[in-house]
This record gives sequence, structure tokens and C-alpha cells, in this order.
Amino acid sequence: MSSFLFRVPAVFLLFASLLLPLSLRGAEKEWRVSLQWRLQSQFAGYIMAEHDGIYRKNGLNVKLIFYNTEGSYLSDLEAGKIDFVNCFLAEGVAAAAEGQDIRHAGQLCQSSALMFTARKSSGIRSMSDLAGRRVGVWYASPVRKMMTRFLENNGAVRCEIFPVAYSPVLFLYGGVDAVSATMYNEYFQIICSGIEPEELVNFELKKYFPGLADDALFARGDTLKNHADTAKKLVRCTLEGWEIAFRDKERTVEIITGMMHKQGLQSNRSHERWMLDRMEEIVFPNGKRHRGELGKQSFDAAMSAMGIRPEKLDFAAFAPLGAEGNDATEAPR
Amino acid sequence: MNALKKRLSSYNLTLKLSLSIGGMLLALFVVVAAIFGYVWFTDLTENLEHAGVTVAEEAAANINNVFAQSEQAALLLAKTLEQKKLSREEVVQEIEMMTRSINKNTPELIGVCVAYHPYKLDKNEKYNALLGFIDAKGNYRFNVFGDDHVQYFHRDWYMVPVTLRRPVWCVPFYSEGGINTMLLSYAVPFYLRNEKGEKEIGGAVVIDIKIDLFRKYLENAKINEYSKTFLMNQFGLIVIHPDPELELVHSIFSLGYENFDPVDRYKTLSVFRAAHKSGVVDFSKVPLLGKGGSQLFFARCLNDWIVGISIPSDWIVRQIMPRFWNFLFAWLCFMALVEIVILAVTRKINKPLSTLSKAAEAVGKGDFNAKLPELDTQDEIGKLSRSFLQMQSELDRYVADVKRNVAMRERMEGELSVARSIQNDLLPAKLPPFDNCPDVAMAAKLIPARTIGGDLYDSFVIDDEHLAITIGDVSGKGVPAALFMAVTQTMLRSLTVLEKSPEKLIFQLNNQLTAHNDSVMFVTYFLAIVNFRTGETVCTNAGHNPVLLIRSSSGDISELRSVHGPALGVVADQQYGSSRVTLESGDRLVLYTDGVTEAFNAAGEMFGMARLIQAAATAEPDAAPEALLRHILDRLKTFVGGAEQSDDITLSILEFKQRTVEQK
Repeated sequence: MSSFLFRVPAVFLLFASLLLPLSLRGAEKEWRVSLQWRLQSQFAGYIMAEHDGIYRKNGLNVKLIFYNTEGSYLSDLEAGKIDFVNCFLAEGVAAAAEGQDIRHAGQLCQSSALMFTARKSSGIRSMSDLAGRRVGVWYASPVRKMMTRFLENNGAVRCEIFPVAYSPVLFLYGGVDAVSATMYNEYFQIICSGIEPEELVNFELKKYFPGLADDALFARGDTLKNHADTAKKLVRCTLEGWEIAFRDKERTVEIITGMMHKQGLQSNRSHERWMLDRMEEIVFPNGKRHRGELGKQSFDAAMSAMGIRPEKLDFAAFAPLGAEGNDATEAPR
Repeated sequence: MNALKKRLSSYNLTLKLSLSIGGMLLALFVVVAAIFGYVWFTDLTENLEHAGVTVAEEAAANINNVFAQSEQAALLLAKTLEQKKLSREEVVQEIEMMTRSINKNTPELIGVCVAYHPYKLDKNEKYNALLGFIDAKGNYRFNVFGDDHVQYFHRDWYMVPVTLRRPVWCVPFYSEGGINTMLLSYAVPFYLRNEKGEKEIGGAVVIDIKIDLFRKYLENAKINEYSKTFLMNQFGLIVIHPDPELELVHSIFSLGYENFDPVDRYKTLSVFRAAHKSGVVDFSKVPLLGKGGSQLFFARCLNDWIVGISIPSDWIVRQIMPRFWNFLFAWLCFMALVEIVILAVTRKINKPLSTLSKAAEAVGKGDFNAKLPELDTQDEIGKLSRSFLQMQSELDRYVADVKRNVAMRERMEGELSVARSIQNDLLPAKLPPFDNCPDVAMAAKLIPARTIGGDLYDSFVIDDEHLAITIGDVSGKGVPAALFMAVTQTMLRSLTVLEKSPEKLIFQLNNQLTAHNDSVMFVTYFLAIVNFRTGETVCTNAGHNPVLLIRSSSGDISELRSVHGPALGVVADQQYGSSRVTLESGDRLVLYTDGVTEAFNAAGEMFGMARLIQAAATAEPDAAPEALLRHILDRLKTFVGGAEQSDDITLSILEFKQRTVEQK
């Protein structure tokens, strides 16, 4: 009798000890992070951080959700369907300036790959040569406004803004004289369609908006307030993921194309490699490492590019964690 | 090179033959392989270019049929829409009619779409894309698509023709309108008139072609097992390729972008930009076409798409290599057979040669009875063996002869040695030839040129007061001269028993020698009878060298030149005279043979009488005969040096020491 009384609690305790870690894991919050386009090397930092367990090692349970640009990730962020959003800084600035509850958590890309490209053979050598010409601008892009303003403010007077899809096909057919592009995506498609780089003239936005930066991580204000450490950790881990991605690019491309294949997405290894190389140039410009801080110059460039008046958005309020000097990624391991 | 030659010369016959014939066969193989390789290469490459371009053109022609029909259908429908203001239902009917019609003629054409510009079909409806298609089961289906999610106005197949205001062949895309497959489309913009009668864009007519159906045209378009046939659009996008993973993902430029050779990239661009409809391009390395060099045969379709047939540059090597390996294998077998034959033949040759070699070695060591192979063949080996046998036999005989001769010579030398000994015994054992004679001192030396010589000297006592001293030189050398000398010496001694006069003694001696002289030898002779009490000396010179008289008192050296007759043994009954000279105390007579005065040195100079006299003169004035003899011989030896002695050398010196005069 006494042995029975002893065994029952022992068995109970044994099972409890086995189930406890599971229950704790189940209690662990899953942080939903959206990426604004499909799975590709543009998001290699996130992908490698997840793949190599960097998030897990730092106690983060991260779920990456790949949108396309026609998705409403900012709305989903506000609605609480996702916790963090990766998108262009200018996009986040514009949304915040319009009153959306979106705050800057970390500046992953410290430079910009946005550009326009044109054939030299069409007589275009400078921005002013775009005056009166037909220029294709992504019709669905959240930075459409920035791209359009860029043209208008830099000499391409009275050019015809022509809405185009995300592929440069219309440009290849000669339907537009110039087209918006990113250095890591559309530009590669163009030079792999029988056009030599020497035949093109590029107008990079960062040269006209010094400090302009692309991808950043955003969250709701309350998320940053209540989970500042998580946010900082997320930024730091993602930057570590970028480090891993750039350290062995062949491995990174291998992993990403494998994942694309599993998801039924068509993969072009050359394109992914090119994309990774260009991302390195904007994530760590000139090889300079950073901790994801948002510089005032970048903030101002984004504001200016989007045509937002300075008083519409306060820098410190916009970037409570990621502002320069805020030691964005300082978080205990 | 010399080291190599030396090394090669050390190899045996089998190895040398194997190496030389093997080397020759190998060289021949290289030549033959080169010739065959050239013939095969020419055979394989001949007409390849023509064949490659022809095949590409044929495939392009087949594909062009489909393209042409697409263009016709699209243009026809667009014209119909422009010419007639059709209602929605009428448009749907037209679509169905056309879809069924074109698909019946050309199964690759599977769909017809009329996509209207916003509000052009119905002013209340923004989206109106009417699609009719034949599904996978062959059934006609109809679909209307377009909404805020699928804004087809921004799709390339719509935007491009509408923007450019001309028909275009679109970049392949994945159809979402119900066909759900990769399509190639030909899109033609059409125009409608508005209320004001103005022509404005109405939309686009699109004929859809299932890309997969082109595959059969390319699969049949092959040159050989190594060629790959593929289809690219006008921007280099790979549409159909034997490797499906490349399709619609890569362009010919994107694959291995970083590894593209600049010259090859330029050539690739020229394929797309050039006006010619077909051609051949040689590439050193194009990532799409293969790792190494390759050839591309291409033909342009009517929509500027490219049918390409690539063949790696090493395909010829791949074709030729199996043939080459077979040829090499056969040649190696042949070489092996040749080597076996060489081995068998050389073994047959080497066996008797080896035996001959060992026998020669044994013969060289003195075994003249070493067994030699007996070959009855008539070839060189047989002849060599028989020659060797003969040589062995001759050598055997020769050695036996040599042994006999050596034995004979040894015997002769032994006899000569005995003869010399006997000859030496004939010479005076001591000089003077009597004891206790203070009046005369003598010394003599005979150095024969050979084992035994023909010179002689003697000195013997005739009576209580007289001493005979002689010297002679027999003609010739060797044993005959020695025998003649012995006879002369002995005869004279026997004659002095009865006769004391030198001229009579010489007369008798001459007759004796002449009487039994069949060998016609002769001897120059000098005889002096010295009264060793008084110094009176009577001498007879029979053809001999003049004796030297050294006067002690003055040191003068004179020659006793009188020759009293010829040499002995020549003419019988020859009368001889004599001379008288009185020796004073200390005077010396120097008797010598011509071996002294006619001794030559290496320079060919003769010692001569003058040197003899000088030698005698330079001796110590009171030198004893022994010392004087040694002095003269030393001077002679010094003069002659290392020259060979050609004649017997004899010196005999007598010194008269005192004169005892009996007072009568």
C-alpha cells in the first residue's frame, strides 16, 4: 500500500518533468515577421538567421512570412496579424507620417538600390534628357510616389510617368525610354536580356538623396514599447544572419534556391547570386558593419524623397530603438 | 647523350631489339593514328555545318507554321472586332469559333483571348478579359477574368502591344485565366471608335500557344547524340531546353553570368542582333552550351525567336576516342605479338652466342678445350661457331708451338749459360796469373754484349821471366764467336809450350785457325810477351786495335800502331812481324777491343780513340791497373749513357812496376 502511494506521485512527477519543456515551448511567443516580396536573396539575412538557428539560439521563435508587394503587410501590422514588417524605409516613413501606428525598429539596409535605367542609344545621358520622355514607374509599388518625385525634382521635367509592372519587359520592347528598377533585381534581368551594361545609363536615387536607405524593420509602437529587447534582438540576429549569408555566398544561394524549389518557385542561381552581391553593397556599404541604427541623414532623405514635411514626423518618436545614438541592438544575450 | 648511348650499349640483344622495334612500331602508330585521325575528323566534320544549319532551319520552319497561323488568327479577329461593333455575346461566339478552328488546324494553338481596355466593352465594367480555350481533355471552355486582384492591364501580354500600338510576341508567362500553364502569346491591339467616331484603343486580341507543344519540333531536330536543341525568345530567354530546369528561368546570358567569356558574350549578342536568318558561331566557352568550346547552329523564326543547336567542340573527340582506343588496343596486341616473336627469335640466337661467349671466356683463361656448340646451320651464327672452333684449334696449336719454342729457348739459354760459364773459366782466374810477382800488376774486364761474347783476353806465364798477355776480338757474336775464341785461346796456350816468339806463335796460331775454319770466322789478335824482369816486351798485332802505352815518367800516352799482319783465320801461311818496346817502371800497357772505342751513345756519337786516350790521361798518374780500368770503364759508361751495348767490351791493363837489370 505504501509503495503504491509512493509510485503514483513519482510517475506523475516524471511525466510532468517531461511535459514541462513542451508546455513552456508552447507558451513561447511566435514573432511573425513579414518580408515584402517572395522568398529570394533580398531577404537572405532573415532566411539564414532562421535556417542556422540564430533566432532560436537567442530565444526568439520567429516565423517569416513572405508577401508580395501587392500585399497589405502594413495594414496587417496595424491589425496585429503580424508583429514586424520588413519594407523600404521611405514606405515606413510615409505610413508613419500618415498616422499609422508604425515605428522603426532597425535599419538593416544602410544604402539604397533604387534607380532608373535607360538606353544610351535613345539619347539619354543625364536626368535632363528624360524630359518629355516616357518613363516607366512601378504602378503598384509603395515607393511609387518617391520614384515619381525623384524624376520631377531632378530635371526629368514633363516626362510621361508610365505605370509598369515589376518586370522590365516593356522597357526591353522599347515601350518606355527609361524604367524604374532595383540594382539587385530588374537591372540584372535587363542585362541578361541581351543588353550590355555599357549600353545603359543609370540614375541611382542614393546619389540624389544622400543617405537614402532601403529595407528597415518596423513594428507597432506598443510592440517596441513592451518588447524592446525582442526587437533589438531581432535586429541583431538578422544582421548576424546577413553576416552569415555574405560569408559563404555559395552556401547561401544553395539554401535559398533549395527553399524556392521546395515552394515551387522558379529559381535562377545566377540572379540569386547577383542579388546577394548587391544586397551586400547596401546592407554593409563599403564593408562597414553596423548595428542597425537609423541615421538622421537617412531619415531626412526618406522624408525628402517622399515629400513629407519635417514637422509631420519626429525622428526620435519614429525610431525609439533604431535611432542613431540609441544603441539599437544593445540587448543582453 | 653519351651516358644514354653507354647505357643502351650495355643492354642485351633481346632488350635492344625489343626497344628498337618497339620504338619503331610506336612511331609508326603515331603516324598511322594521325592519318586515321585526320580522315575520321574530316569525315565527321564534313557537312556538319551545313547539316546543323539545315536542321535548325527545318525546326524553325516547323515552328514558324504555328507562329504564322497565330498571327493570322489574331490579326483576323482584331480586324473583325474593329470592323464590326460586336456585342458581348457575339464576341464570345467569335472567340469560340476561332478557338475551335485554330486548334483543329494547329493543336498547339489552344486559346483565344479578347481583353478589353477598361470600360470599352461595357462602360460599367472595368475588367473584361474574355478567354476561350481548349483544356487538357480537349474540351472547349470559356472564362472571363479580371478584377482588382488580377489587373490584366498591367500584364505584359496586354501592356506591351497596347503601349507599342503594334502586334507583339509576348514573353512567355504563366496563365492564370483558367489554362494554368506556360503560354506563349501573340497579342494584337485593336481599336474601337468612340461616340465621337475617334479611333482609340479597344484592347488586345491574344492567341495563346502552349509552349510545351513546341517540344516535339525540337526533339526531332538533332545532329547527333551530343547535340542539344533549344528555343530562345528574342531576349535570350530559354523557352525550351533538354534541361527543363533552365526553361523560363534563365536566359543564355544569365546562366553562369560571372563565367561568361567577353568574346563569347559578344558573339551571343550578335546572334540576336544580326540580320541573317541562320548561321554558325564558334564559342570558346558559353555556360549554357557546355563547359568547353562549342558550336552553335541557329535559325531565326519569324518572330525573332531563335532555334539553337549546340554541339560541344569535343564531340569529335568523343566520337573519335572510342575508335582511337580500339585502334590502340589492336596495335598494342600487335606489338605484344611482335615482342613475343622477338623474344623467341633472340632466345634462339642468344643461346649459341651465350655458349660461345662462355667458351671464349674459358679460352681466354687458358682452357683451350672448352666445349663449343656445334651448329650445322649455314647462317651467321653457324659460321661464327665454326670460325670459333677453328680459332680454338689454331690457338691450341699455336700455344703448343709456343710452349715448344719456349722450352727450346730455355734449353738454349741453359746451354748458353753453361757456355758462358765455360768461357769465363777460360779467362784468367787471377791477374797477374802468378803469385808473388811484385813486378807486374794487371787488371782486366770482359763485358760481353750478349750472354756470351767473342772477345778474349788472356795472361799466362810462359817461363820464369816471361809473361804472355793477349787480347782478341772474334768476328761475329754469340756462341760461334765464343767457340772460336775458346779455340784461339786454347791453341795459343798450347803453342807457347814449344815457341816463345810472338810472330811465330801468331803464325802458327793463324795456320791452325785457318785450317779448320769452314765458318770463315776470324779474330783480331794482339800478343805481347813481357819480360817481367827487364820490361822487355815483344808484341805482334794481327789486325787488332793499337795498344796504348802509358809512360809513367812523362805521362805520355802513345799508341803502338804497328800491325804485323791481318786478323787470324783468314789466310794461311801468313807471315807476321813483331815490335819491341821496353817498359819502364810504372809504365802501363792498355789493351782493348773495338767494343770500347766503337761504343755509341744515344746521340749516335762514338767513344773513339781520343776519348779512350783522354780517359787514360785523366786517371790518377799512379793509379793501379784496377783503378785505371775502373776509371776508363766509368768514363765509357758515362759516355754511353742508356744506349744499348752493341759489341763486347774488353779492357786489359798491365803495369810494369820495376826493372830489374842483371849486371853481366
